[in-house]
Amino acid sequence: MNRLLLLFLCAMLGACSAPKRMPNINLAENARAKETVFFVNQQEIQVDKPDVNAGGGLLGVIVEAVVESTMDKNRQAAIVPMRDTLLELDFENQFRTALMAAFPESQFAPDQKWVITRNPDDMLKAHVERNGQSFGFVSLRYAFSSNFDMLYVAATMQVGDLGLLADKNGKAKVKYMGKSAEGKYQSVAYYSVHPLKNHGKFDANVKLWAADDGKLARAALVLATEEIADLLKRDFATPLAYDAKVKKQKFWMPWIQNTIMLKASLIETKQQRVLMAYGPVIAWTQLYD
Amino acid sequence: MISNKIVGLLLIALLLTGCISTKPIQIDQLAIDDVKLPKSNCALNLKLFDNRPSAELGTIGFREFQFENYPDYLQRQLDRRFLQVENKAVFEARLLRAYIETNRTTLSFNVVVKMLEPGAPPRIYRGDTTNLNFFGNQSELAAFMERATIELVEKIAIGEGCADSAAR
Repeated sequence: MNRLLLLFLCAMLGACSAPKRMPNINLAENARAKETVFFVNQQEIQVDKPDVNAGGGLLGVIVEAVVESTMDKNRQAAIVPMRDTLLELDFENQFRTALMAAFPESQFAPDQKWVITRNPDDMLKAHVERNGQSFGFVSLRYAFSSNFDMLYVAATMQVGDLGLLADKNGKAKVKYMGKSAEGKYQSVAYYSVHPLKNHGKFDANVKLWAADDGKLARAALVLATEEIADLLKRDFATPLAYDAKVKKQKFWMPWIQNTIMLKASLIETKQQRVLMAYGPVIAWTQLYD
Repeated sequence: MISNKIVGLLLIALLLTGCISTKPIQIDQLAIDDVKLPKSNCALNLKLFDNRPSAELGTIGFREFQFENYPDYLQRQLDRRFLQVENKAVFEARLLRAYIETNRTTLSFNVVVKMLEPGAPPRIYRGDTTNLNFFGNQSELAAFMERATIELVEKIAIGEGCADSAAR
C-alpha cells in the first residue's frame, strides 16, 4: 500500500517521498538494476497550479472554480515566453545523462537502459512488466511555483524490486511485501529549489526568469541538474538523513504544488544555498526570509 | 495546504479502489471539425514535419489523451487556410510540441510550430488555449485541440503576412 501511495504522491502530485529511508545495500552483480523506468508527465516547463481557498459550501466551490480558472489562464499566458525560450533546451535528456553518470554501481548495472513513460498507465504497466526484478524508477518534475517566485526540479528515485501485480483485468495492483522484502528497495526525493531574488507579482517574476534568453532559468536548471546528480551520488554512498537533534530552520519548499515553509534539519551551507533533510526529502534550497 | 493533502489522499484511495481510471481517453476523428477559416489567396506552401520529442498528447488527470495522427490534422488545416502554388518555395514547418495539460480547474492545449525559411531566422508560432472543462466528453475535449490549432494557424497567417487576404 505504501509503495503505490508513494508512486502516486511522488509521480503525479509531484510532491513527496517514501515514509522512511532504507539502508543502502550492495547488491550482487547479477541482481543490480539493468533498467530505469523514467516518468515525466510534462512536455515543457510547467507552473504550479494556484490554490484558492474560498471557504466551504457550494458558493465557496463556485468562487474557487471561477477564481482558479482565471488564475490558470493568467499563468498559462504568462509562461509562454519562458516556454518559447526553452523550447530546444532538451532538459529531460540532459537530466537523464547527469543522473546516469551518478547512478551508484552498487545497485545499478553499468549498461543501464531507460524506459521512458509519459502517462500513468504506461508507468504502471512498466512496473507490472518488471515485477520480480530489480529496476530503478525516476520521476521528474521541473516547474515554477504558482507565483513564479521559485523554479524547482524534483526527482523521486527508487531502486529495487518495485514491480506491481496485474489484476484479472490487467490493472496494476500493489503486491504484499513482508518486512524482509521491504528492505530491498531504496526510495528518496531530491529537490533543487531556486527562489527568485526581489520577486514581485507573478507576471513581473516570469519576465525576470525569461529575460536575456532565459538566462536565470537556464542557470537554475543547470545548477539543479548538478545538485540532484551530486545528491544522488552522495546519498547512495552514505544516506543523508534527517537528524532530530539538529536545530530546525525554515526553508523555501514547493510542496504538493504549493509554496510553504518547512522546519527541517540543516545538513550543510554552500554559497547562500542550504541542504536540508525532511524525512526522506533531501533538498538544496534557500533559507526562508 | 491541508486541503491539498486530503485531496491527494482521496485521489489515491479512489485510484486503488478502481474509481479513478488510468485508461486512455481516445478522441475520435469525427469529434473534431476542420477549422472554419477563410481560404487565403496568399500563397504559402507549408510542409509539416513532426519533430516532437514525444508523439503523446499529454494527460488529463491520470489518463492519457489520444488522437490519431494530430500532425495530419494540422497539415490539413494549414492546407485549407493557405493557397498552395506550384513552382513556389516550400517552407518547412516543424511541429515541436502538441499536448494537453491539466490545471486545477481548467485544461490547456499547446501546439508549437517552428517555421524555417532559407536565408531567414526561424520563427516560432504557438497556439494555446486554457478553458474550464465541464463534462469531459469527446467534443468538449476535442474543442481544446481545435481552438489551439485555430490560434496557431491564425498566428502563422499574421506572422507570414497572409492574414488579411482571403478568397473563397
